[in-house]
Amino acid sequence: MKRRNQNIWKRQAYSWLLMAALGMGSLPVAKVQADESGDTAMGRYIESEITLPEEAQVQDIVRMTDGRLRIVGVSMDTSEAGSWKLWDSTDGGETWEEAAKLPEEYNDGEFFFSMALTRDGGGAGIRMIESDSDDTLENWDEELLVFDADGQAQCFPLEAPNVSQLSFTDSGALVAQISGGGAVLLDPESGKTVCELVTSDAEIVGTWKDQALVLGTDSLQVYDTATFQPGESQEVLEEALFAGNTSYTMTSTTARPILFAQAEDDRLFYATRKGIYSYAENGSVVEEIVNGSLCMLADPGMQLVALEEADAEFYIVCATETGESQLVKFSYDPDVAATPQQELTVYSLEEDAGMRRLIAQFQKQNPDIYVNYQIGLTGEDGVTASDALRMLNTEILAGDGPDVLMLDGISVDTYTEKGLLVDLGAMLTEVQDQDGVLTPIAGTYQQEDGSVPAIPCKFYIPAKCGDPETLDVIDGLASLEQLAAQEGTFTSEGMLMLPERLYPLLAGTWSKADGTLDAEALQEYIQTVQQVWQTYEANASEQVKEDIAAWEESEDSILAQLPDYGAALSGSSFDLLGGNAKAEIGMLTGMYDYAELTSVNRQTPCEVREANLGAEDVFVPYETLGVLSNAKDSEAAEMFVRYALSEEGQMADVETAFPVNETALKRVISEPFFKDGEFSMASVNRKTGESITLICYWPTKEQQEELLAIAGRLDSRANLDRIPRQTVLEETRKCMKGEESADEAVNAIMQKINLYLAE
Amino acid sequence: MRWRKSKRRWKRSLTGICFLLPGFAGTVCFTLVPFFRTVVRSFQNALGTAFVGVENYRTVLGNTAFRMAAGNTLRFTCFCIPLLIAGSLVLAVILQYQKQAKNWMKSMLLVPTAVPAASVVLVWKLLFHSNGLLNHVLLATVGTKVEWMTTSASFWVLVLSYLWKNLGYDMILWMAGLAGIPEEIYEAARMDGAGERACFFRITLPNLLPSLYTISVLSFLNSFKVFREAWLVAGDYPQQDMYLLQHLYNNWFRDLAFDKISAAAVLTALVVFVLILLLQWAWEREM
Repeated sequence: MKRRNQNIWKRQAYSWLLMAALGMGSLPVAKVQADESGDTAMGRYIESEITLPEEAQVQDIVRMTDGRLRIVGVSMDTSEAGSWKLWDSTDGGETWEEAAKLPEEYNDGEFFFSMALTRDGGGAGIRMIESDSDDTLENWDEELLVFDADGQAQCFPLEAPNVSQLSFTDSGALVAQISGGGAVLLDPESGKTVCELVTSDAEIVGTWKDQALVLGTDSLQVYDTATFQPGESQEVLEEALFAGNTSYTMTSTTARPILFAQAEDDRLFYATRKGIYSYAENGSVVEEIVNGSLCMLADPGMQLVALEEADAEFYIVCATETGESQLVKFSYDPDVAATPQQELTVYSLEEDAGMRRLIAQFQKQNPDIYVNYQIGLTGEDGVTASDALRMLNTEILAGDGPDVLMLDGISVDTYTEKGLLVDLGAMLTEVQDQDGVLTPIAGTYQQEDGSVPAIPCKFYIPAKCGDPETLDVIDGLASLEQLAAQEGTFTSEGMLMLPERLYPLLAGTWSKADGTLDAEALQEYIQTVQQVWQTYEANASEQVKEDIAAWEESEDSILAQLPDYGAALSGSSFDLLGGNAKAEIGMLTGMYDYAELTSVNRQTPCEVREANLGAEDVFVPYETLGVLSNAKDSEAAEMFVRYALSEEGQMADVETAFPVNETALKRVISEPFFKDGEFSMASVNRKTGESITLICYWPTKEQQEELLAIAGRLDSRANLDRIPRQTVLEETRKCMKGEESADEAVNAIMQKINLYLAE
Repeated sequence: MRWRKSKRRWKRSLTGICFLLPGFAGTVCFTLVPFFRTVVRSFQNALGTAFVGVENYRTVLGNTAFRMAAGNTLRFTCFCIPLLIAGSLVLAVILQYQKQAKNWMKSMLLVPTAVPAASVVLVWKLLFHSNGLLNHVLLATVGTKVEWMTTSASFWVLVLSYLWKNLGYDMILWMAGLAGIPEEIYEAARMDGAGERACFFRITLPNLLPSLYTISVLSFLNSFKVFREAWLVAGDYPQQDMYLLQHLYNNWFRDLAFDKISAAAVLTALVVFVLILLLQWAWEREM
């Protein structure tokens, strides 16, 4: 009996234990809440902008041995424009004095790049001089310009080809990158190559003490410039540099993806988009000094040129998208919280460089707010747009959604109907009173009750460009077929992407007031596209047929990367210039587009006009912002949208699209990004093989007014809802290729769209 | 004495309850509570901030897309379940009498169950694309081709895919049921002069009724999984005959229509519940 009782108790004990274990295993993991009662960590590097002397375009900055800061660049001051000078500062960059000027022979519109300074104030650069070659693309030779602290300079011919990325070591050795991805040591007194450190895979070169740093695709090599032998490997540094599969590639002659500098105690500093970091030789850790996401380093519109450290402060030389230089100083402020206390979340379906620039500028103005930019389609996983939207909706429903939504590619109506978007009408009125807005565009989402749930901050303009006589003929879809029969009217890319180019213009014509589709209008569109394409293909030359075949091989990837608005007009500039096409239909995506096309007009007749092929006065909204009604920080969210609509916010990114803020629009159109004739583009005529040069000019006053007038007339929003667009384009393309008839395409579209609308 | 007996019984029950408790807690947390929450949400607006009565049910029942999807789902279920049950039973009976090829045939029929949906989709595209294998064969033999995925033929592709994927699984369940029938009953019947046909209809089928209930319920639940292949091939808006309830829920989720999803889900659950109750009633009646 006693033994039996003992057995029962044992069984019960085991069962309780097992139950406890199973129960604990099935419990959800609780989130550890941060202790909000503790003290906030204080102290952070804050950025400030330093005024450069004579509006100089600076290429390097150095802390000299006597503690002065020195910069080298070209003066843009009207009286001395084009003069290469050295300026010094003794007060941490607050004021600058001219220290030296390069000899006159080098100041007559000479172009130098990759300037590098030494700690004694001298330096070197690459000088471009015209050669005797007939080829437009290869009529420049390079020389090594070497100058001392007083500006005395001389030039040497370079042995090595295509030298760039000059950098001096502490002992005066000159390291450079050459074409083919090699890294070399140059003799600064003759320009000769002293030693070839690596022959390939040298994407970026820099210096640290007496060592050359060579960054390859996924490796860091260190070379002793005295012995020319590999130095001690720095594994911790290498791991940090390439963490997250980071790669470093030069995108221009002056801007770099990573900058190096050296502290007085020989520690290495480097700056990337992610921040400024510090590393001690053979150290076990790389320390983050400045978080890039909280400052201008995250602004894709700012290109990194040079970095220096002095007295525990950092100086970064950047170039803006319009080519101007900025000098940004990072100083430690112990009274600012280490991380901003307020967090604002901005969400967009796809990554947008313009939004990143806006965020960087906003954070600069509001250092106590951290903007967390979330992207739905990162491209790193197999997530589709629908999946991304479902995940977004799940987060919104859970109360964990973003504060500001960038509604490009997202249905505004869906969120408006659910009452998820805050009324921004008062804000729009405010901006209207302050700066003026293009009301038909900015107020395009205004509801019947007067509320404005979303505001497009920018817009694109559908347009046609080309020979005036040809443009006169393009007055409707039917006219395209007639022109397609004439070889040389349109480019093959233009024809191949005709459905995508025409869609924004015509999407409104087949939508009825009740939201259903007009099958007849849709049929007309599909049939016309099919006929135009078939006519074009039938009359195409052998060369064009080869181009078409090549394009079709990569069709899927090309179309996948095409933006929703179709294609930029300026993509056809060289075809128009070279006589390969007489007209093109597409989108004006900003002032660079317009300037390029008006520049073409100086060399061959090329006008830009509104497209008006179906619907009239159509615009394509861009950067449409809305504030969620359940935003965690609605005040900061509205502040952000207000900033995005302000003149300053709209000028944060002048490259992309046109601002809805009237004051900003007038400035963007009238204030040139570049000087007339300052830069040119070159290409090769696909037909004849000849080289073509397009010298760029800013549009004339008349052209500026014409553009302003066009913008003022736009009042019809292009409907780029994702599902209808994808469906129509997919079926239209099948019809174009002859895989189905126009009737079948229309039936398939009507079926799918009616289902979509029925939901 | 009686008190001691009931105390002992209670102690034994307690042990069983303790083992059941974690699983039950999981079912409550992850199934029952969300379901009741969904029922509550079906009477609220999309964000759950206001009570709207039966408005959501009216909207759903009047929605043409819902009616189409529900009709397709019902049609699919009515075709597939009887075909699957009958087909898998026939296969199970055939395999039971196989001696040599039994094991490898069983494995062959079970392979589709293990094939991931993404792989099935690749096969679909290979076979049923406008320029796929099947159309090549048809063109060569009959001289015409069929638009499998863009016409009403897509429904039969769905049915075929479902049958191909689930035949093996159901066959195994039938074979387990068949193995549970005592051989002595067949021996006794044969001694009384019963033929194979009589044995099948008078002995095999009645003894398989418990399995029929389980297999029917499982097959019905598996029929919802065919959405995966349909969605991977044809996306959010397939050909109308392939448009099932899950497509609708998927699209409503993208459009934040949580009110409609909740109402539709409750209606679907009610229908499924009634069907299973009917099945159970029919089975108990037979017993």
